[in-house]
Amino acid sequence: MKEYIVTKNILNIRSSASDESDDNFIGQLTAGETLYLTDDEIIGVTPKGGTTNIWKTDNLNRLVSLDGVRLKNYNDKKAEFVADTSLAYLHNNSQNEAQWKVSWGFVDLEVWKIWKMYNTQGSGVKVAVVDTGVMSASNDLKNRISNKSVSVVGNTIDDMSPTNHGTMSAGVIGANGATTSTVFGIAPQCELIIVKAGNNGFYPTDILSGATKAKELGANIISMSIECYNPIPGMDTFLEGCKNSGVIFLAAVGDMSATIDSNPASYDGCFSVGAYNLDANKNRIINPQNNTSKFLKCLCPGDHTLTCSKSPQPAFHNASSSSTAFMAGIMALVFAVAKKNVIAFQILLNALQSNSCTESIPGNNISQSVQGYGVLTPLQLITYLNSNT
Amino acid sequence: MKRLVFLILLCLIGYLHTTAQTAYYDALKLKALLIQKNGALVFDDSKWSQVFQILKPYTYNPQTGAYQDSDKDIYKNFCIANGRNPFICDYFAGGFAGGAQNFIASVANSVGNTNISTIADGLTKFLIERAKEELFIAFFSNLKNNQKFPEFPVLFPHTQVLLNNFNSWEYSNIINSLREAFDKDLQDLLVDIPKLKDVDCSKCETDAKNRINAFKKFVQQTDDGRIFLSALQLGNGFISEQKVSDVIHIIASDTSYLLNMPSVKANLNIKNGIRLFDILSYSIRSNVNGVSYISGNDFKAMITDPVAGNIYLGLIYQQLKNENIQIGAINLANYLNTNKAAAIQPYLNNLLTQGDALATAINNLLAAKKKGEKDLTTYWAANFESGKQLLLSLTNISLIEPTLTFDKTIQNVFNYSTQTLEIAHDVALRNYNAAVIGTINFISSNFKSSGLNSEFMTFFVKYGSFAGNLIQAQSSDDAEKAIESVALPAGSASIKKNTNLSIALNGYLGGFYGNEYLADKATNKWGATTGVYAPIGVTFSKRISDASFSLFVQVIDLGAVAAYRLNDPNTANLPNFTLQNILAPGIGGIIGVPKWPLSIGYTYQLGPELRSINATNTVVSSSLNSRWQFFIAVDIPLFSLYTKPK
Repeated sequence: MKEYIVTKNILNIRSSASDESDDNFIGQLTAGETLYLTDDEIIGVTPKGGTTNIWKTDNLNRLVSLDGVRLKNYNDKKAEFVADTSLAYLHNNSQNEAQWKVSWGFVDLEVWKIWKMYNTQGSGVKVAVVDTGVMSASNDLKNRISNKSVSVVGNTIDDMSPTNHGTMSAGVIGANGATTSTVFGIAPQCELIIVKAGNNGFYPTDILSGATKAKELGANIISMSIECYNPIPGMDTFLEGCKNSGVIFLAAVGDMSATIDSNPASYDGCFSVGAYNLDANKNRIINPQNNTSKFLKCLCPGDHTLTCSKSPQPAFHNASSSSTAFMAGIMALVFAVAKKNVIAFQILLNALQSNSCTESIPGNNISQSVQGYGVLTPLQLITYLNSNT
Repeated sequence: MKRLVFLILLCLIGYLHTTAQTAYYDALKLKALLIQKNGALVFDDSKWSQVFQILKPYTYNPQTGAYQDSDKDIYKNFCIANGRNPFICDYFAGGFAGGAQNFIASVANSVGNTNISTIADGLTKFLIERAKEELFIAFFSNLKNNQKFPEFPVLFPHTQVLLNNFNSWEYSNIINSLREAFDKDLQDLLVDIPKLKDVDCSKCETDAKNRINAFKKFVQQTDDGRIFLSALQLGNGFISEQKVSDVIHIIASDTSYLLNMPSVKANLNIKNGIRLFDILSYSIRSNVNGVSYISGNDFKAMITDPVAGNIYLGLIYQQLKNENIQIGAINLANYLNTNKAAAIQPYLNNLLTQGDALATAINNLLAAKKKGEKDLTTYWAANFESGKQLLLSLTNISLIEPTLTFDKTIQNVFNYSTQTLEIAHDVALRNYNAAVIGTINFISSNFKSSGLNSEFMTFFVKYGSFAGNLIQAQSSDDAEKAIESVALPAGSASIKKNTNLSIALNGYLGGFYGNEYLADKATNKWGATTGVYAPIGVTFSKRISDASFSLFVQVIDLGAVAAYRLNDPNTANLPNFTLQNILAPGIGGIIGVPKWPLSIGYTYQLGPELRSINATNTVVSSSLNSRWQFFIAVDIPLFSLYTKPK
């Protein structure tokens, strides 16, 4: 293994030297970053690596490789983080999942860049997952669950729901790949607080109790992959408290494919999160299960998201449950690197409304109720927050 | 066969229980799954799988023919997609884990259809190959010819199996078995008739194909046909002691019956009417064996319970909403929401009163059977009368809303059903001939434009009556006569004038005038002659307007015997003569006179040797004589060999 410091402003890694076309784009490094290469040697100013050792400069004088390069995981170097020709197929799930142990959304929203650029995986941030509990004995959530975790509907936080819904939500946020090396969540170093608030479904009073407990336990972010179609008495007051104390509260927009407002997503003070997918051509599309709701704030990856099951085998989370957990993971990274003492509901809302931290999905109704302010772009959000707060 | 029927019944029961729902029982079950949560009654979330399993059947979408499978989709159906069910949604916690969940397993609803016609056909062919030419044998062999009589294995399945498993010439040894087989078949008469629509007649003979096609067209393409099937189904339900609610459910939800009537497709009111009485009828179906509906008292207890009654109304509401039941200007879901229990209670009370009466009648019948009473006539009569009243109460939807009426098409189903109950009554009492005639009357009086051709009706009467006669035969002689009556049918002079082509063994009796050649005479061998003409031979006849023309191939001439018998009918014994003596081969043409069994003809014949006969002697000529003659005679077909209809 040899390390190279990138000295150019931008170093694109390509699968061929044809031109600057995105078709052969496989990765990008910026000045000051480290390029790790296996069994490389340098001939002149051109590094050699990959399988064929054929590197060239493209017509914009950028280094390219015919078959890619191999990088070590930026942080713990346990799992190899492969940048090879498959990067041209960012949304090839089997490649992402089998080699990288991450879901397609990890690549699509460039989460890996946050890890590298800001050297964080969410450490120091408390994320509460209010859901059906968790099973963590034999998956990549092992040793990841905060001992503050609690149930408001019984004596155990064990997830007994038929689909292990709470376990899947927690895995998207905080799995660390350390036990079974199958799943990396978005923020594998955050403090993951589990608040069990239901077994199969959720009563409104339990939802409020769970949220309240999460806040009491000091959560910076409360993730609620729950959709409730009855009012939740007291939730408005509770969220007012969250707004005032800088707790970010996220909830699923709901997956009934209907024009309807679910709770608590439709309460003021809550970030209602919808899901987006990739179609066969890797274009972003709005998840058809999303409810249409005027309270929707933004979209995150919400289809076939790699996560933990109760067994060592991975599972896949879907729809706005998945996207809500995904955004909770992102917010953990954002909290870790932004000026978290000033991140609050209104600041985050301003960021989304600025259109500089989101991307609209073209070809769709851009009304707020369909895609909110668009797909959240984490890197831009961090940049925005760092420059505007 | 019994095992097959048992399996089919099992499948049917399974089918009913996976696709149908009884709101009464479901309301009580759901009530038991409620818990108190912060002062409110809500479904216990640890038992959601049971809750959604119960609710699933109420999410039926008639457009897609599918049910909602996941808990969220079921909830969506009740509380979001069709508006909020005002009776039930408050019992839901309302909070779901996002994404799709499937707490409940879907149940395979398909019921396999097994076609055994190929096996039967193969057996039939095998047996037919070995059939003897003797008439009785041929008769039984013919019945096994599915190409000629495709109706037979459908209408007489037990008999068909029996025939397939014995040699035709051994029929006399299995008369009793035949009687029992026919008895079983006729018990199922009402349920077997509709099965004719499923007969594969692609390889049938033309006549058979015409018969079956006419039946199929009638029951598949006409309102009357569907109503006919439904009425039969209702009638059969009473014989087979099915629950009325189940029979109603079958005819109101199975596309073989009312839902695919041409008028249903054209008129939504009719379809909605059909679905309305099914939904209401099934909502109070009893799960007790032999009892159609829950008791009036049980219903009263449930509907006056504020929780169970509310859930019950919610389950009815959801079905009305999902199926968008609207009759005229009345949206039944909205009407129910506005008027609550008062909307349907009078109608259901009336129905249940009749249901109680029917249950009592059935219990009395069963008790009488248990006691071994021989004459059950009174009990059956009470049973069917109660059934009639129950059916009438089903149609009385003006009790729901005074302006609400069923379309005449639906009304007809129940009107006709009271007639099929009469048939069912006859079947139950084993008055099979009456049942057969009742069926024919039922078809011909109610469905004049059915298109069912006379051959179909004839087949039905002929073999239905034969079966009835055979079953009621008190002795082996009676049984022989029953078989003889159908296997050796008496001819009729009218057959020649009413069929395009007929072949018969035929006799004539009349007088002739002709010219005779007497070989024994030395001179003037030809001479005029008159006398009694009584030939027997085969006629090949064709209808010409109201008359007929026959080519007559004569075999024997009994003129001398007839002449003697006309003068002396009392002599016990005739002098001996041989077949050769009366042999008189000949040929001629004969015209059948319209409206009368008389024929005028011209024939030429050789012989006979028998010239005359008296009490003690015969005059026989050993020479080959011949004559031609004009004659006028009574037409006496002995039996038909072949007929081709008009």
